[in-house]
Amino acid sequence: MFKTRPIDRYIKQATAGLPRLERIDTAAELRVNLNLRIKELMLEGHTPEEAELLVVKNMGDAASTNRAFIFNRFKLSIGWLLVSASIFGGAGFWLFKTSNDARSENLNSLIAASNINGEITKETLENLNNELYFVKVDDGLGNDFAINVTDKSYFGRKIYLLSEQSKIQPILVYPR
Amino acid sequence: MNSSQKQLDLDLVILATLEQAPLYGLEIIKEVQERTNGALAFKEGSLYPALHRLVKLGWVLTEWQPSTTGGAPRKYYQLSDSGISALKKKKLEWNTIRNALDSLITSMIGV
Repeated sequence: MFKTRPIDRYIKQATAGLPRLERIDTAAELRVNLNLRIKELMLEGHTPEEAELLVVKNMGDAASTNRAFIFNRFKLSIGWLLVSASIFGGAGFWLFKTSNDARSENLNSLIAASNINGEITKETLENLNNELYFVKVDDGLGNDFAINVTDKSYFGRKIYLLSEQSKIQPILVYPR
Repeated sequence: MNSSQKQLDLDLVILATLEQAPLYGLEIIKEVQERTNGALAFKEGSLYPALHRLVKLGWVLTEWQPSTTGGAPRKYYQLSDSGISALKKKKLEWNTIRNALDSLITSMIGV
């Protein structure tokens, strides 16, 4: 039965767990450099066996080298994961913020559109015509007005607009 | 010295060694020993994972080339443009640390 050479054992252990192509490339590189070292030591008078053992010993712990290879991959993957999360998270936050800004703009528009008593009149509501969804406004007198706003979160909810004059206007939102 | 400091040092050592010319693994180790008169010695096993990390960072490029002295082809490493930039940055960082330590040690000796 073949006895595995120390250099083979080292290379196998050091490159274990790496993706196939990376493992082959790394193993080839290690083998070339280790063999060069062995030749140098043989020229210094060591036997092939001695040279091989010394070279492997100089490489240090194969398991540590392997952990470093694996850790590099893991760390870089985590790095990319974090970068991706940052990008997508940032994009998500931007969309959320944009949506919130749009909602604020709508509310501000509505509030700004209210008259001096804080009341939202049919005429002012009709001027807010660039939005996506209808909003039903109850002015407390049984009169409903339809306007459009962009914020889906208002669906089916009664909300209240507060003007600077603290006039409360409940509005009910529903999809178009 | 913590692990990130050691990593900073090893990255700097490798990048600085590759600054002059492309080298293969064994040459890098010999070059480091020669240029530092043997003062900087590290286990050869730690070199290859570090080189691979630098390759993945895009700081170092690799190419298998035929041996000029016979024998098997060797995997040569050379700095990329981003590697050159990284080296400049690391040199600055190192100078800052060295100056800070020099100041500290000098003031302590003065006491």
